[in-house]
Amino acid sequence: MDTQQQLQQAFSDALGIPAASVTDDLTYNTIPEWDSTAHMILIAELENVFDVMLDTDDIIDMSSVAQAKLILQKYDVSFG
Amino acid sequence: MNQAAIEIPFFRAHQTSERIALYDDADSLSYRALTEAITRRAQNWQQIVPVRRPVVMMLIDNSITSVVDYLTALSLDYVVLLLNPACSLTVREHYARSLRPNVVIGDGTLTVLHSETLPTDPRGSLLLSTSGSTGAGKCVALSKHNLAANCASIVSYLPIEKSDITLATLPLSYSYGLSVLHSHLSAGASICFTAHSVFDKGFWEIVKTRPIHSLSGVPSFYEMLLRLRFTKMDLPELRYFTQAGGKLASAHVTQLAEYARATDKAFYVMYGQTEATARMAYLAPDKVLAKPGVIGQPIPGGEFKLENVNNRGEGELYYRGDNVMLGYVEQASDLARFNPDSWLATGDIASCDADGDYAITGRTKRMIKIAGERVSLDAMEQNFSDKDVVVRCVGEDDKLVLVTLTSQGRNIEQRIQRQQILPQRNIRLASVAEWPLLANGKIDYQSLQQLVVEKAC
Repeated sequence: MDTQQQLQQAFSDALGIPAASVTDDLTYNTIPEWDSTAHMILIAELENVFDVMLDTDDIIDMSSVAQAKLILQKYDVSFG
Repeated sequence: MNQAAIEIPFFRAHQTSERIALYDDADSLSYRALTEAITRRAQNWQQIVPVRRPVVMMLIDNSITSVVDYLTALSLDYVVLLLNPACSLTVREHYARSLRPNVVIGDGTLTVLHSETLPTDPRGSLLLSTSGSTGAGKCVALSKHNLAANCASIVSYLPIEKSDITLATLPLSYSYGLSVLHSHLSAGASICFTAHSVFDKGFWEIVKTRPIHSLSGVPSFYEMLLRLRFTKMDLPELRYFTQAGGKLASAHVTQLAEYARATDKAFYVMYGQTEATARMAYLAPDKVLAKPGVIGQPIPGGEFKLENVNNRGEGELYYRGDNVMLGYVEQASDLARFNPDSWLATGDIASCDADGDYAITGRTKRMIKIAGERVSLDAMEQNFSDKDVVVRCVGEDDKLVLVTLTSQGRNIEQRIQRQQILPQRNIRLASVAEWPLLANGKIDYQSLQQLVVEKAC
């Protein structure tokens, strides 16, 4: 699994949605599955999968799939 | 209709104050303006509501206008059922049928449903659902005396100051959220509402710049704060924070207590129930580090006792105080007369240590909490059996386990999945070859729980 697939899988697992619907423009609080509780689970999942420890600001800024990629890049995770 | 004088509860001493009572993301309202708004709304309602003491179904959200609605209804001595606007249409219809409200108030409108006078016990003022937004459970009936007594106890032990601004993140349809409103109004302090969640920048801007002096939340709220590295945040204006609404993991209690100690704040771990208006006990903040997982001692004016104590010193926890409810209400006729019990059976199992501090060790009732809201396991089973699906429910907080028989086959899972009553993340499916039974032929839920829950942990 490459990092892109890992990311999709992490979102899919945390939000309980199909991996196919994890697109870059998917945004926090725009679907019922991505509420604040799911966001907490998502952060735990991303930290686990990519073995990183996110800052408060990064957790708050992670408001879309595209943002998640940008932020994870700061933690040396690259998306081909 | 005659215009009776109205009596605004909670903040009589501050009615002419220019201090801010309520903030939201766009507006603010002083105590004087709040008093005027309630008085105006009361005059307006007296003209259009055809009954002197209507039963009102009110959808209350965390907004200035909802607070004005709610306080107006109490001031006019209405009987008010508070519902979370997030509750489903089925829940609203259920209460509309069973409680036969005269009036529905919400979303800025008042709708008169019928003008028949329902017999109501003069003490019954407030009805709160026992099941939050997850279902149409029975209601707890509270009197104004209950509200005032619990509010006075809370104000006497929490360090609420007149100059404080608290951030009200709990829904006002929930007894804990309501107690934050009441206690701050009574102290002449400010209550701030926001549409932002803790994962929004806007939330923390408000905390820092308003600034916010106190926070209150259920375990899931603090789990989110810890995930957000709350304990690394520099929040010099935040003086204290309170937790109730279920058991927060001891490790989390300790993390928060250490943060409080290091930053000169106070962390209050508290215990309560809607049946006791809100609060029954709290642990003195200086004990939290030494006693994580303990609920402490009864609030001023309250009393605990343990019944049927076993050899480990654990017994059923009972509470007595002026905040114990009038009774339960399931249908309109229950409103006519209440016979309140002096001791409230909490349904919790507790023990008491040498200092007089209590700890909850289990439950006598078949219920779990999901995101702080009560879910009756029996009601959940009923919900499935209404749809001809045989499912037994067990579980622990935030994890409902739906158990089926292996012989029911795989298509049972699909039928269960279609009943989306709770978020998927809080549900797990399990199956057993046969139901464990007690000698009397009933389901042995303790054994079932061990089979599917404790084994998996």
